[in-house]
Amino acid sequence: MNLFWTFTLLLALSVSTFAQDISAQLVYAFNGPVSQSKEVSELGYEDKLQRAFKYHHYRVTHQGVSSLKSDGVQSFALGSDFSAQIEKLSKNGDKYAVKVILYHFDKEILSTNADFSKGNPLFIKGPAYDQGLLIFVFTVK
Amino acid sequence: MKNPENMPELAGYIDGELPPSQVDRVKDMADANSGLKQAMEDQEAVKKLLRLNRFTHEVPITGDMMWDRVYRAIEQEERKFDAVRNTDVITLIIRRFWAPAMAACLAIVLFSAHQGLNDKFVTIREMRTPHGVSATNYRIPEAGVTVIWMEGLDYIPANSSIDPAS
Repeated sequence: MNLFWTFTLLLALSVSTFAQDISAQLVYAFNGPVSQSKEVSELGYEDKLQRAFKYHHYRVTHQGVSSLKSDGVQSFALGSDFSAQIEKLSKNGDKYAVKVILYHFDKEILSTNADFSKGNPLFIKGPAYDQGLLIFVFTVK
Repeated sequence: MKNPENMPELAGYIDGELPPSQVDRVKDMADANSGLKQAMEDQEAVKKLLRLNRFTHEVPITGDMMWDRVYRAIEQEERKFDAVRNTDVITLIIRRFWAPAMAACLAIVLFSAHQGLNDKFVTIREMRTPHGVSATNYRIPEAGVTVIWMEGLDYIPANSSIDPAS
């Protein structure tokens, strides 16, 4: 019987800790012939990007993942120019209140508090880049 | 002599139900017929006795009977009151509370819809940008996404540190 409860507890813990990660992607959105668009990414949400930004192609240039199971501030780089700082503020059911800070080199360009639920992305329009646009995509998975 | 019991007019006369013309006729007949007159007098005497008996034969109310009547009256009143009360409760609910009930239902539906909608989007609580940079946020319902639109950031020319494929 004790073994059963131990197993159940471990399972519950593993499910709860399985929980969510938040991924950040730096996406380059651009137009142009398909032949010139090298390694166009299969993001799974291109249609959403298309509706939001109207570009033809989207390529993930850098990405990082931060776990939401632990408290505290976590940072990760999105290339050498950009970085993101993630802090889980609270969890309410399937929703996570997260503080996101974006940096361009050492300069903070955006700080936001947002409630994320699983699978719903947040698009942040960044600076114009080359012949297109940089987009930051944050998704709780 | 005519049998007085077979005269419907006689009974009508005794009961005072005849029109004046017939009353006179009956009186004339009684004057002319002693037997009929006697019968009429007998009938009137009986009627008089009956009138007197009406009061003398009333049953006196005993204590038990009085309490029985009181109980029955109370029961009747309670039944009436229950019926009225039940009707009133239902009527009150329907008439007085239908508007708040509908409002509450509507609020629940709207709240649920709002919550349901919120579940499908990232909700921005707060945004802060440095001087020279602005940000607005909006939702694109058909895409199911939330967008933060920043303006004021400098253009970045192509470089491999941002896009290694360029």
